[in-house]
Amino acid sequence: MNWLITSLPLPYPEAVVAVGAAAIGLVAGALGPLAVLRGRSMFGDAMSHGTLPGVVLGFVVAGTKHLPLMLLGAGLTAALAALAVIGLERCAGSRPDVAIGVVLSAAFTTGIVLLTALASSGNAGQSGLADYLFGQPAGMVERDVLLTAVVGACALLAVTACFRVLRTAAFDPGFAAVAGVPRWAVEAASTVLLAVAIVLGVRTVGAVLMVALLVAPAVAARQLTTRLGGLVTLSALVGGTSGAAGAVLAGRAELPAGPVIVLLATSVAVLAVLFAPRRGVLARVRRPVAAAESRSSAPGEAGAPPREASGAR
Amino acid sequence: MSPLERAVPNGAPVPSPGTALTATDVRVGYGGGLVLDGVTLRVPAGRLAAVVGPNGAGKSTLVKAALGLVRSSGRFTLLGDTLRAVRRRVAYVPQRDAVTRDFPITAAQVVEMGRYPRRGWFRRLTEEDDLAVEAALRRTGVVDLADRPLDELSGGQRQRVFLARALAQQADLLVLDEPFAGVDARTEAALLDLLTELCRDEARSVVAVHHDLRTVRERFDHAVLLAGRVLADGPPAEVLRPELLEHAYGLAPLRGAVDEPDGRVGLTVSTASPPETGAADRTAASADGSPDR
Repeated sequence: MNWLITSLPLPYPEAVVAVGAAAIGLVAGALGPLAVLRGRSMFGDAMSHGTLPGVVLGFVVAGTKHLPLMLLGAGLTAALAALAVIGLERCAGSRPDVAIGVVLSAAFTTGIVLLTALASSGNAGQSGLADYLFGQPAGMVERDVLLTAVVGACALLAVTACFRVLRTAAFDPGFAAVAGVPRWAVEAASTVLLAVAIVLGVRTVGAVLMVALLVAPAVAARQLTTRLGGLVTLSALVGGTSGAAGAVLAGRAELPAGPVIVLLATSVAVLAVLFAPRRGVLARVRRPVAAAESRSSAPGEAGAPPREASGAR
Repeated sequence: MSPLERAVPNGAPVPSPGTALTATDVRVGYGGGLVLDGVTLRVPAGRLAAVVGPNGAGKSTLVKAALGLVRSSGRFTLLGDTLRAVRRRVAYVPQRDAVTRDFPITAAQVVEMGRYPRRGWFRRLTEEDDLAVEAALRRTGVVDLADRPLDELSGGQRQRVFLARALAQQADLLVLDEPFAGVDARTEAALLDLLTELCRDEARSVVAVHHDLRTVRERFDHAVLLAGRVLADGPPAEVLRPELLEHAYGLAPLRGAVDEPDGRVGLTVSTASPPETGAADRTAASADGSPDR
C-alpha cells in the first residue's frame, strides 16, 4: 500500500486520500450492480442512511473516534435497517418503496438525534462526527486505507467466487431457486456485500450520498457493456476514478469530498446515458428505424411476420 | 362418470414413477383469499401437458408451488418423487416478466446457466457443457444469435433462448410458464414441434401454463383445467368440453375476485365460444409482445 501512495505525484496526505477514495469507489462500483440490476438501489439507500446511528454508537462505545469500531457499528445498524426493510416487505406486506421510506427516515432521524445529543453533551472528542453525513476524506491515514483495501478485497473476492450464482439469481431468481440456490442465501449475501461497500464509503462519501456511488458507476457502465463481467469491471473503474479524482479536487478546492465524488460519478453516468454508442439516448433517437429493421430480419426469425418489430415502441 | 368426478379421485393419488407431476390437496393463499383451494391432479410422464384456466385461476401459482417458489400446503411430487430429490432433473422457464429486464447478458450466457446445476456452481465448465449449449441453441434455431445481448432480441427469439436453456439442462421434466406469451404464430408452432419431439422421442415430460385453448386441443396430450381448483384433468378432448369450459370461464373466478399474482393479462370472457377466446387472447399477448427494451 505504501509504495502505491508514495509513487503518486502528489503530496503525501493527498496521496493517502486519493488511494483511499479510489479503493472505496472501486469497491462501491463493483458491488453497486448487485443492487442496481436487482432493482434494489433504494434498498442500498436505506442501508446507507442506516449507518449513521451505528457510527455514533460505535463512538460512544469506544469513547474516541476509533474507526474500526465505528464502522462495525455502522455495519450493524445498516444490516438492521436492511432486516427492517425485508421484514416490513415480507411480514407486513408493505410495498418496497413504503418499507424503504419508513426505515430510511427512521434510521436517519435516529442518527441525527444521537448526533445532536452527543454534540450538546459537551464531549470534546465528538467534533467531526457530523462529517459522516456528507463525507470527509481529509484526516484519513494509511492504516485506514489499508483497512479499506483489505475488507474491500475480501468483498471483491467473494463476488468473483460467487459470480455465477449472483448473476443467475439476479437475472432469473425463479430459475436459480429451482436450480437449488435458496433465495434467502442470495438475498443475505447481496445485502452483506452491499453493507460492506456502504460502510467502507460512509466516512469519505457520507451516509446521505453513499448510494449515489453505488448507483452512478453501475448506470454508466450498463450503457457501455453487454455482459455482466464487463459491466462490473467498468463500473469499478468509474467508481475508483471518481473517488480518487473527486477526493483530490475537493481537497484543493476546499469543497466537501462526498458531493464532489458523487458529482463526478454522476456526470459520467449522464454522459454515458446520453452518448453511449449503442444504448445512448442520442443513438436511439438517430436510428429507431434501423433498429427495428435489424430486429425483424435477424436470423432465427427470418421470414416471420414482422409483427413483433412493429409492436416495438 | 363426468370428467369432473374423474378428475378429483377419492383419496390421495399414490405417487408413482409414471407421473410427471402430482398434487394432493394443495392450498395456496395470497393475502386474504385462497388462490388454490384443494388442488389434486395427476399428470402422467412423457406427455405434453397444459395447465389452462381463466385469469386468476392460479395456473402460475400452481407450477410455482410445485417448484417450491411459493409456499403451499398439501403435497406435490415431481417425476414421482419430492422436489428435493429430483431438482437436477427439472428445468423451469418462468414467465417473461419474472426475468430481470435490461440485464447485461448474451443469449449463450443464458443457455449456459442451464449447465450450472449439473456442473456445479463453482466448477469450471467443460467442453461437454459448451457442446450442450451450442446444441441447445441450434435446436431452438438461435445459434446465430449466441453472442447477441438478450435485450436486443425479439420476444420470440428470447423464448427460444429460454427454451434452449431448458434443453441444455437435459432435464426429464420441463415446467414452462406461458412459454408462448409475446411469441408470433410461426415461432409458437416451431417450439411446439420441439416440445412434442421431447415428449414423443425422448420420453421427457412437459408441463406448460398456456391459455390458447385451440393449440391445447390440437397439440397437447394432456390438459388440466384450473379455476382455483381442478375442474378436469385428462386428455384435452375430454377436458376442454363446453360445459366444463363454461363452468371455468363463465363463473370465474371461484372464491371472489382473485387477481393473478403476476398481473398477466389472461383470458377475459366470452363463454359462448371458448376457442375464439383463446385466439383473441393470443392476439392480445402478441400485441404486448414487443421486445423488452
